Amino acid sequence: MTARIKKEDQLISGIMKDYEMSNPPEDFTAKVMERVELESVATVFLTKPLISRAGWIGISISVIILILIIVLGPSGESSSQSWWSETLDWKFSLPEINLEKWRIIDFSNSTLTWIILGSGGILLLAMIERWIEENRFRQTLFL
Amino acid sequence: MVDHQQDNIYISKVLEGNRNAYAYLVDKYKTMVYSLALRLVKDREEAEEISQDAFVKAYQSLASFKGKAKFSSWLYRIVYNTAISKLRQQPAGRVSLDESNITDNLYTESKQNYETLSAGERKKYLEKALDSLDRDEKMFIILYYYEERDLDDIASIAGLTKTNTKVKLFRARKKMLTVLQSYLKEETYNLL
Repeated sequence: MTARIKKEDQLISGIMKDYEMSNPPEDFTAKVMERVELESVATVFLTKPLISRAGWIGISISVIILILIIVLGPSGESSSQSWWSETLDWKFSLPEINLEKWRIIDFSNSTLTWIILGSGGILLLAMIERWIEENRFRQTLFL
Repeated sequence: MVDHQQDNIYISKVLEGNRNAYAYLVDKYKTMVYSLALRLVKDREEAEEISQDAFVKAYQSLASFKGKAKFSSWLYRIVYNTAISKLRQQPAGRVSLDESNITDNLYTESKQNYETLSAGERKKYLEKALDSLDRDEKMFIILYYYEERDLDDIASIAGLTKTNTKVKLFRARKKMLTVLQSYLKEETYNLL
């Protein structure tokens, strides 16, 4: 630092001793905390959904297991003889759906169809949850 | 250092869910934050809005504050960015100065004249000199000379490199002295 710069630096330092800060209004902290409080309410509702992350994982795993059972398990009438029913000594039969009525839509019995149906179901659940959550949030804030 | 640690204690409390702990931080920094915002926007209502916004933004992002820098530096950066976003729609109040007016005896003249002024007059000229600077320059001068922040700190607040900050601070200092000198000359001329 040259001597001149140093002198100027000292001069400004001296001048700035006269500087005074401006005080905000008296209720400033209260106003900020009010807004913080409001933000926290919003955050609680936005970060605590109806179905938690663990819940979604559980739903997804159940859907995948269901798809696997349907896909990997023997089809038709021999289902009562399947490996898992023998192991668990438990029988069940899926309800018969008259697909003839739905001929307009091509329901094939392929794995892809079940995966699409399963994913669609999860998506639908997610949308319903979001809709309920948004309504609840709006009601909390404005009613 | 102790001050810095105390801030971190309150930040931890806020992150643990104690919202009231944040009131301590607001109380502690509100004057500096508001003053800085007021220097940047020159309007009390707007400065209050910017300050409030900055505190709310800081609260929302508190979890991302790593504690590497001082909380105050992190907060001032939020204030600065909030003010800049507000000011984007407005023209910058830049005062053009002919730097060729900067003389070698700037220091001597300014110092001699300034010391003869009363406290009230000194404050008046200081306000005028600060107002003549652009928003970055004002902030640099206040943070460096009043808050006694180092160049690294100011650079992180303004999002600039240290070298760039140094150059800007140098120019701000020159400009401030030039403005003061011209006001003081005017004052002397009026007295004569």
